Amino acid sequence: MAEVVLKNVVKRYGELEAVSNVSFECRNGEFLVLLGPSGAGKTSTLKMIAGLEKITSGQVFIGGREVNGLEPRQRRVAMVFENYALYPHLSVFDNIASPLKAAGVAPGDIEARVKHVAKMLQIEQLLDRRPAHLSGGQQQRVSFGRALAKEADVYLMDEPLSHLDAKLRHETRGELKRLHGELGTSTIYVTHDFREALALADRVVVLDKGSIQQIGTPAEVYDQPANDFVADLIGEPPMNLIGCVATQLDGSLCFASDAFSLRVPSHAVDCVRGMTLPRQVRIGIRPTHITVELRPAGEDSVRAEVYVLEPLGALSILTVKLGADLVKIRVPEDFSAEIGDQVWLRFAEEKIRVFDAESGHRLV
Amino acid sequence: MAMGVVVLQNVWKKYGDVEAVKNLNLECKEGEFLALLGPSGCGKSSTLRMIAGLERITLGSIFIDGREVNALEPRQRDIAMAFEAYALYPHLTAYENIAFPLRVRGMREQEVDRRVREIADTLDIGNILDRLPRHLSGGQQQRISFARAMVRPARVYLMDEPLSHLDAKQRSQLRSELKRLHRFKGLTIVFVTHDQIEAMAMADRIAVMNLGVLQQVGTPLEVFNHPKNLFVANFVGEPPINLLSVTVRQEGQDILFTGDGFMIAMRDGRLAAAAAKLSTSKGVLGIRPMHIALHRESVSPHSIPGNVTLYEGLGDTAVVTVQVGGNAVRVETSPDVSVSIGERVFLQFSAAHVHLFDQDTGENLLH
Amino acid sequence: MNRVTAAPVKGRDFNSWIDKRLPVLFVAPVVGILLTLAIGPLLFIFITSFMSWELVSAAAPQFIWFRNYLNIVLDSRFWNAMKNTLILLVGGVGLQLVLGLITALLLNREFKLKRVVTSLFLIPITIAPVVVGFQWRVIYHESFGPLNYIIRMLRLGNGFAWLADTRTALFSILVAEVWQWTPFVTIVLLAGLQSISPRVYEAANVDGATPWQVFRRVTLPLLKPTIIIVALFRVMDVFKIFDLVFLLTGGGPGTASESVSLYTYINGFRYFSMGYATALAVIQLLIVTIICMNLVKMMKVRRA
Repeated sequence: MAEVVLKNVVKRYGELEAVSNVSFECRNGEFLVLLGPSGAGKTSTLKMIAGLEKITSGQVFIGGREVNGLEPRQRRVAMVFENYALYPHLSVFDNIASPLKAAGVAPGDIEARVKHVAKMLQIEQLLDRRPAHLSGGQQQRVSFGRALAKEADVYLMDEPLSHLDAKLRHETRGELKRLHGELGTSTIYVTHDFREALALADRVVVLDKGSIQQIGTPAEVYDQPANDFVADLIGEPPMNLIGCVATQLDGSLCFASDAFSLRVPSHAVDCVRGMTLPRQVRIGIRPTHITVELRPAGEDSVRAEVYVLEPLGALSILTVKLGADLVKIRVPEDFSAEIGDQVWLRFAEEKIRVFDAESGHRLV
Repeated sequence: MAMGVVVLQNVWKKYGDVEAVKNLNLECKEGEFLALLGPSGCGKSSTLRMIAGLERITLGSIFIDGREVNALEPRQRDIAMAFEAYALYPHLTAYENIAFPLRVRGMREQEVDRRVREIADTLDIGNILDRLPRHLSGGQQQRISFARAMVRPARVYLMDEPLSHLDAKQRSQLRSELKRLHRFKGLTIVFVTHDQIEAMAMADRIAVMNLGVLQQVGTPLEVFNHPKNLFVANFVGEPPINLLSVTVRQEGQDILFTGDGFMIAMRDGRLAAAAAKLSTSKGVLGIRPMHIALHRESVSPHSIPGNVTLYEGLGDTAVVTVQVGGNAVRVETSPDVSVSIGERVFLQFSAAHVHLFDQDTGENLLH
Repeated sequence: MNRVTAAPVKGRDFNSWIDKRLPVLFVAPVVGILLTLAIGPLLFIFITSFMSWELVSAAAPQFIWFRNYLNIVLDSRFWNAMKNTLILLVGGVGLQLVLGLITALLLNREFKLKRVVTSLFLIPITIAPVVVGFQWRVIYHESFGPLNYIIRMLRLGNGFAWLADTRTALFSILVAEVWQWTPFVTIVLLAGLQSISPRVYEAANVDGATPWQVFRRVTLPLLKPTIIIVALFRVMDVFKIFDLVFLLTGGGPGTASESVSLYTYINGFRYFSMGYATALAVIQLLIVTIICMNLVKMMKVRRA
């Protein structure tokens, strides 16, 4: 067990800077998720920790020891890949045993460890099969098994669930979280799927274009996104961002646009008062925090036009046109409306976030 | 009887010994958005390719507008198609790709230009029209392929996973645009997908397929609320439905379900009728995670006790896994509910949300 | 990279030394071979092309600067050879491309024995040019050749002295050249055709394109880079045509079928005018280089 520390790490491929000045820490026993879209630099970061990519500049420490100059095998890390990368000519047992054999573990110990890992992953009955005879989910378990069999201080996982179908992904995700709970080994996990990040992580590092956007607990990145990028990355549908102007009308502070005018909620008043008004902002509100009425509902309700309604079974997603923006709202499955209908929206005041229109930083 | 725009009659597709599609009967009506939903290898793509004329029909007939098209070339069928693998012309720019189906029909350049610009506008690809496919990302190529299919009038639009390579945001965007295009223009669309959310969100009707066999055809809510069998129940819905093996016994007016680690009694006429149809006393009880309420203490004698083994926050919702005997039961709750691992909780659900399946045939007995 | 804490391992220094110099070590033998076998002789030829160097005369070689080149420009036999070469080039390569494309399109379809037929197509390429030459000499033979035999059998006439008649000699060489090299064009174009994704054809079919439109608008443009490459190879090859001419007609009758290469050979090894012959060789080299550069440029334009 060990903590992993990255200090000002940079990765350049020729002209292209894939990772720019990234610093973060994965504490001992922590489950840290690197979340970002493709090209965010998360896999490059993981590979630098593993030693599979050279570090252009900066330092990586594992358990207090700088590992920049060390080969992957000297770093005491185990890695699970996106594609299972199993040896097709070896049985499941031999696949799991291969890193142990390479490390020169005694045959008796190998057998014991493989059996132990197989039991943990519930693949004992598959040990003498070849990878070709396994389902995708089983192959990924074997691939986990190969990583777990090795004595490692840190587990590195690169989108290990992305090739599984929805149901299996769901199950394996739960399995993984349970395993981490049992083993308590520091884990750094790369994904582009915010659900995996929120469900698995102790803390999430959000990356975009090689830079860290936010580091925080799942609740923090969901509820207090540092900027519009993070707000837009997390949630299905993600947080609505509605362009408007913070201004003063008839003595009261409000967010206004051509389509609506909304009183500034109490938790934002102080901040808005401190701005030079009027100021271009975007207000952010999650689809769960808007209620829809078919009639005008008080002076704080905002009129909008139905753009499309999509039933998803247990609930539906209603998209409405509010000025130039499309706003998505989670509504009950029995809600019905036609394209073009007028509806009135009510925002849960305390859930309104405010972002700077230019920099994208969260102001409130 | 009015015939649908696309009608499949007893259609089979065999590749050597493999039966990819088995005796399929299906109809897509005028102006309908029909989704073919199923896991990979279920025969949905083969079905679409047979409608398009890209695969031979082994047995049976396909009609488009009442005319049997079995022997017709794709170009004679008056169809448009968007491919999952894009299938763009690599030597043509995005613009020329979209214009291709119009130009081969000898349309005047002025009209071609107007139409290409119009569809490019709708799909927000106006800025990449002069690029060659190899300079476009997968998502952009997919939108071009989609535009090429939508640019011209056709009797039927066939779409093979046209959103699969888009990122989540683009996908939800294009999903809405496609649904609006369909509603406004009254297009007839057959859409293949493995993503149940896509099918639910857009389709008028969903045809669920598995292993080459049609499982159920119905509106999204029918398929979700009244799945015909275990496969459909399992495939539709995220997180997936909880399925518990039970022994069923009638006791007075109550139906008694006994499973590993729990026993509940329910008083419900529909359930009683369904239970009567069981061939043995064994059945499978299905209940969706969002239809289970989670309580800290026993609120009624009908609640099921269990221990929390996993808590997964997903932002808008949370999924709590509760161990009940040998069953791991998933419950979808509001993210505000806080429970800790190992905590004892009580599960409750109403008879109205319960499904009962035959253990051998997998059929939903409530139908 | 931060080396401060990296332990100085003995093996690592050697490894990094190897790492840096490995590319050079790999390339060195090739550079050596090129220098001794290509660049060196080339320089030698350049120099001799500015000299008068008659092996049959006792006079020592001497620099005459551009005299050789001037003589070539004024040499009507050279222009005759050039004309013959161009006829072979345009007619031969043109026919090879057309026939090659047709056969490639046919072979690209699914049919029984496709593999067998495709392998049969390779036979002409595998035969040595000398053998091809003799084979066609037999075919064209005035009295015993099968060609004239067939003509007589069909009562179309008495046949020709194919290789001895000024009207047919060049044409006869062209036919042999086309026979030998069309299969090469076919195979290369077939590979090009097979690299076109079948999905693209499906899309075109669904998009409503007729078979002719599919060929014009999809197949041909996608095949164009391959066509250019194979044309490049053939043009360079035919421009240097020597073996078939030498074996079938020897450039005759008279100079009726003499190619530039053959004329160069005759100058060098029959008249022993080394200066004149090397000047001819340099001119050929320049022309081939120009053709080559143009074709490569066309390929690049296509790519961009």
